[in-house]
Amino acid sequence: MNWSVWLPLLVIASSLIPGVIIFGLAERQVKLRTALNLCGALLKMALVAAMLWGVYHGQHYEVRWALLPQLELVLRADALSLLFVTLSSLLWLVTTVYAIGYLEGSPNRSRFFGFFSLCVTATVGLALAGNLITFLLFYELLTLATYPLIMHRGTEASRRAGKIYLRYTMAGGALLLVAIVWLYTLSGTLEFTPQGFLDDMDEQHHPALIMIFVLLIAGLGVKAALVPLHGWLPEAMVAPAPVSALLHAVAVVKAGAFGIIRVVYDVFGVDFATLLGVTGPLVILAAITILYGSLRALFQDDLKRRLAFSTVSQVAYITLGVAIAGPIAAVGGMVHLVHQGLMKITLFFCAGNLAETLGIHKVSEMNGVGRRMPWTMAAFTVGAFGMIGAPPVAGFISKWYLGMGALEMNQGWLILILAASTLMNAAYFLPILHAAWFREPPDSWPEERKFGDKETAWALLLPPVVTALLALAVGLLALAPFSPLAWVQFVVQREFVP
Amino acid sequence: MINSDPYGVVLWVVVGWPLLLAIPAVRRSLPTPDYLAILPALLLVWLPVDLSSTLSWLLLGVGVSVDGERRWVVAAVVFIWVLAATQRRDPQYTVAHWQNTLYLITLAGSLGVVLASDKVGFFSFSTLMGYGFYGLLVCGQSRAVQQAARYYLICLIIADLLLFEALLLSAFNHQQLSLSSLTDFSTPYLLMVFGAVILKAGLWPAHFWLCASYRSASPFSALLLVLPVVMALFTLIRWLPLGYLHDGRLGWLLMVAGGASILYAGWWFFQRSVQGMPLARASLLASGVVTAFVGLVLLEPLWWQPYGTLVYPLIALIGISLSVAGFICSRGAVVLPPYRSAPLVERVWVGCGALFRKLPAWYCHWHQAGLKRVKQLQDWLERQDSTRLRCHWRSAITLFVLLGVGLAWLVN
Repeated sequence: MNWSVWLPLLVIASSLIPGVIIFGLAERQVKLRTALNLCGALLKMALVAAMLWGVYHGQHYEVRWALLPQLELVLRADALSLLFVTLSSLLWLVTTVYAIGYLEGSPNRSRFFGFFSLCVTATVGLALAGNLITFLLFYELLTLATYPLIMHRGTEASRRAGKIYLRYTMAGGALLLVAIVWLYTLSGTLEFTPQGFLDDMDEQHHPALIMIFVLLIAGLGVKAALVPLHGWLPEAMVAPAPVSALLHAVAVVKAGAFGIIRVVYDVFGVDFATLLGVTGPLVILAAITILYGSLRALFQDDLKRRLAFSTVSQVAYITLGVAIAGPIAAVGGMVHLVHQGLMKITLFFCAGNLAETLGIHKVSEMNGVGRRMPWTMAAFTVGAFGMIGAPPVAGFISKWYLGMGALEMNQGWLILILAASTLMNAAYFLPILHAAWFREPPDSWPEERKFGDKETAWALLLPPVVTALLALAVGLLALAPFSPLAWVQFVVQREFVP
Repeated sequence: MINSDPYGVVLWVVVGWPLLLAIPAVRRSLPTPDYLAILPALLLVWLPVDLSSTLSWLLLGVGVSVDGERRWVVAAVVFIWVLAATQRRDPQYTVAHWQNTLYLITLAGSLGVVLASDKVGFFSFSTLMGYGFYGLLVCGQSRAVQQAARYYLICLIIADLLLFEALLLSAFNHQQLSLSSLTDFSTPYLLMVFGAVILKAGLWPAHFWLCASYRSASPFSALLLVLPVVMALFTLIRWLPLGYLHDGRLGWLLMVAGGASILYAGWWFFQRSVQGMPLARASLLASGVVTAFVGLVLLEPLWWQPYGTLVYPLIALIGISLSVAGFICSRGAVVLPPYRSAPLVERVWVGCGALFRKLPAWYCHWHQAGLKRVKQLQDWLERQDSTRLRCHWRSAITLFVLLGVGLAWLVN
């Protein structure tokens, strides 16, 4: 028997088992908890690397269990799923290091890291899902695992944010369930298939399929923070910085965006979706979200809220790339899944550092902070320039392919949307950089903590520096083999071009 | 894949070395890093061979090259930076240690712009130089300098956006981004490049950032101001297929812009004789001359054959002359306060800047006041010096009308 087919299961187990064990650990067992976290993350990375190598060379990894009659739980590693799995595992490792430093000395750490591991388990599970029912199971598990993380601090604000989050995401999950059941009754299968499995459906079912598409996008759009379903995201900012980083870069919003990719390409198929006329409205929805998110970000003084609205805008780039329905735009949208993750996690780590070290939560408090925390702000600068789309940071590559894709599909008006978004990105990021680097620092910071001669604890500083360098590297070395861009081109070539 | 002349690696060192020195820890361990940073570029000026190198895995495939013509511009950049470095060593103009990073980033960016053999590389280095230069401008602590830097930043962002769109068009229409075989003749492409150059070079009517910067810049940054202007003119030469392209409308447009800049510089000469401003006038005059010449070449491409090769030395000469003038003027010069009676366009610009700054405050106020309290908002607006606001609003309307007329002319 070839044991390599079990790799998808092992990848999930590598975070599930440490997570379950961590729940049972006492608060004082810090070393064991840290070791479990880091070993799990490293093991996952190694397993994912093995799968990447295998899939690149044509290996097939799939595990199936019968769940109900004619319904199976399917875990499958294809090129697209590995894109998301790699991002999740890499950023889980980095975020774990950051969370260890961030939560040092705080209460309920076992609970936190337990749910943290579960959250990654759910993310990886939905990335590896081979059909819609498996996807739904992990999608709901993700909601349940993230909810305690948002409420971790236990304050009135965090409880309120948790309730809002749960209300939105459970409603989204319910819509998704309805859509999946309806789809199953029509098609008899839920298996993700390259170019979709619905194109041979009778024309009389087309109105129903349009409704199903709307329900699926509404269900996934909650997590992907598409306007007007984005309301939970800015509220969830009360969560600790590692959770915010996880929400915005790795897990929740990306799960929604990834689901939209799966629905458009592997359920409906891009040609059939275009035939149904559902991609056009999706483009418009994404364009509105891009502009709305940027516009709202412009008016936020709270740094994390500004970043949250920025996420609303940036994640919609992924939907836009998918909805444009051309191969070049698909490359732009999918690669932004990785690029946005690296850049946004950097920004949230930096925001966390400012809050933890100096007590800075607002943009208006950031004057001169670059002189006090140069490495943190250097990482923030790289992330911010990436979001604006300045070369050579990763965001430039995404915008380039999205723009080219729009031109390829004769949707030149989208260039104006991208341009307007770029202008607004510059308008809400550059004043932060200006204040941080060029304004005089105040006499004292709101709540300064000393870390010897270092600007902050190494566990807080290392992750943003690493992710900023990665964001720079994947942009600069975009055409190198094994860069995210190269992998996405491989995905598009193998999965979506007939 | 590295596709390179064996000595092509020198080109990457020319750009990479200043970037490496921009890291404070590296710089601190070296004596006189300012001069050391320029050394590879200086060597390049004296190497008599054409070099090229392309790194296909780097940022959509970036290449650098140098030939006899562009070596003139490299020489001008080296000259400007040597002059700047000399001045920086003067105890009177010593800048904070962390500002050296910006200085070296700007140097690397400007050298990269000259050496880039493709549009992506050119655009990337140009962005790097622009933001580095913005940092240098804003390092002067006075409000006037920061205001000038803000103008520059806004122009830079819009210009970069235009260049990015031109890049996209070029790549989409012709599937190639090389600067040595330009083939894009489409009107949107040409207009975008031209618009970007107007903004970046501070040509009339986008001269306000240049004037404001010269008016309030420190002697050191006044010297460096030559660089973005020269690089913008260089963009015009590199991004337009000169000698192959015949475009009457764009030719006239460039001639009008160039001529207007020359006339404005002349008119200004009689209007104001403010200390420090001759440099701004000279800069405007020089860039006007180059732009008008490019316009002439677009009207009659045959002009490029006899005179085209002179453009690179001309740009180099402009850079060297202006920097020498800046160096001489800066000796004993004082920082000037911004004047109150600004020209129309500048007032509009100031108005837009003020509007942009106040927008978040207005929004918050509106949000708190609610729709029922619009009167309260009006009162609040009145308190914000409404006379000035109304004056700017009139100016803005005038500008939009002019823009409409211009577009109508272009369409017809």
